[in-house]
Amino acid sequence: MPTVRHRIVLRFAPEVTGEPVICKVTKDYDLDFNILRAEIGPDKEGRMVLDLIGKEESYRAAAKYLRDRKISVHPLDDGIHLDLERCVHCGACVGVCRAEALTLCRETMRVQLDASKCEACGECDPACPVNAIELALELGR
Amino acid sequence: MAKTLQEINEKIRTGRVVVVTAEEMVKVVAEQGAKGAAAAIDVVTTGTFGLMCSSGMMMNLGHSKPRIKVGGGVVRLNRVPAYTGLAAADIYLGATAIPDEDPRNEDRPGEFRYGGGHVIEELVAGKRVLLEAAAYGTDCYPRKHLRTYITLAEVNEAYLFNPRNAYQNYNVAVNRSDRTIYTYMGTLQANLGSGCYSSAGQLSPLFNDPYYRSTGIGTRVFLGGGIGYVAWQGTQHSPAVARAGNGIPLGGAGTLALIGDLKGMSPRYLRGASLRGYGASLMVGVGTALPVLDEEVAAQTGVSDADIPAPVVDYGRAYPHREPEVLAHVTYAQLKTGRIELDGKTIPVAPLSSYPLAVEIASTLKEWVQAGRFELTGPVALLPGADSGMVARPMPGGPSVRSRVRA
Repeated sequence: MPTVRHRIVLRFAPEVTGEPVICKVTKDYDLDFNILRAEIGPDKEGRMVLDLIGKEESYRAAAKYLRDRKISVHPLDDGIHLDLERCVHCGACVGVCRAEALTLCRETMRVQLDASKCEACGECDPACPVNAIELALELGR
Repeated sequence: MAKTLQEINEKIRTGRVVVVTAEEMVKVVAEQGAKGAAAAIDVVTTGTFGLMCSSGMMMNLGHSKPRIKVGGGVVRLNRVPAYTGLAAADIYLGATAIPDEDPRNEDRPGEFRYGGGHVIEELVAGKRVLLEAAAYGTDCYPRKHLRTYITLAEVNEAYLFNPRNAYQNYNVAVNRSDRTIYTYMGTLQANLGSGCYSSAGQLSPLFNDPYYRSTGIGTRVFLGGGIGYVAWQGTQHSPAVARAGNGIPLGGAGTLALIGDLKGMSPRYLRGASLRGYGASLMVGVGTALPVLDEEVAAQTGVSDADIPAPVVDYGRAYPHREPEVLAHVTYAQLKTGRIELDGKTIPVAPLSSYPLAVEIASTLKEWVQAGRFELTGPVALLPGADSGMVARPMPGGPSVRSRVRA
């Protein structure tokens, strides 16, 4: 079975942030992980963006394990949408996107989005002067 | 051989005019030289689309029954306050006006999701807008309150009157401080983490007419998707700044005050804008059509991004404290690669001004000229020029002892 990569957003209810869930995911499900972003504190709702790398079957089992613990799991690809009808290609979003998911095509100087690179930092939406970027609710701040 | 404006307009009328955009003209001049280009090309069109805060709308509301004198009273359009210090039914709505209830920068950085620029965009899009007015009442204007909806089609006059548009060159904003800052040049990351510039470069109107030979009072222009005119020099017009050998000013210089009928404009080229932590504004599309009268005009309109330097300024300290420091000059060709070098650091830079829409505006204007829909007008009077000695001055008087801004 080939190795797959899933970039996902996890949301933790305050009561589960004490559990070592990521450790369990790697150990028990044999998945590699790369944390892109984490906002987790004691007694607070937490949010984490990470890549999980491994077998598809293992990923599914791990996702079920997380969901069973009331942790929401969302693929990040669905998380960001650029409305090209509204976008004026001013590039304000490009200036704040450290992940280089939003870039300017140097040929045409048009904004382009590679959602698979998005790290869900949430900076682009408020930086857009014409409200052309929509972040899914679980990514918004 | 020199051409006259009349000859060029005659070519427009008879469908023989040869028009290129300022971007296309770069190649024409590179290939054929200024002399060849002057012979081959009649008109060069320019375009720019970006944030132009000094913009707004003059509107006559018509008279209610019974009459209300909003002059000296209060008017709000979709909750955004308009200026009422005029006659009974005239108002001016500025692009940066925001509702009283907007939290502004209380929880920094504020979002500024709706302001005067958005009202203007909605009116031009044909949407109805809530008009609320309060007045003190007089014998001839007895009414004191009013609440109704208006549309652009229903009001008498509505025209853009923008005191300052189309800046000839502008700063490249960077941030040397150790915190992220939220400016009218966008969000700037700390420690030279990012930069923003704001000009269409080689397509920008006044880079192609550096000494304002064909862009003066009365010149017809593309404004917000419709027709406008140069009304005056723009505020802070600074023609007498230092210039490069090709006439290009090394920093902000000439500006234009523009006027035009809002009823003929399009929401595609007038867009309400929100600048996080700074305020609301309006993105405006402007374009000019320059007659290629002679070799000099051909050479000037052939200017390319590589020939246009822009000053790099620290918005972390120098700009807010009005210090004159310029960190470096970089060309628009460098800026358009998306990266500049400063202090041995590579800084990613974003445009803020939309190059694709600038191209679109120049191309649209080119089509209008080719189709005979847009004839050229020379200036009725020239703007103050490079030899006028005119440079924008700082505010009179020394720093206030009660200034509460900490250095």
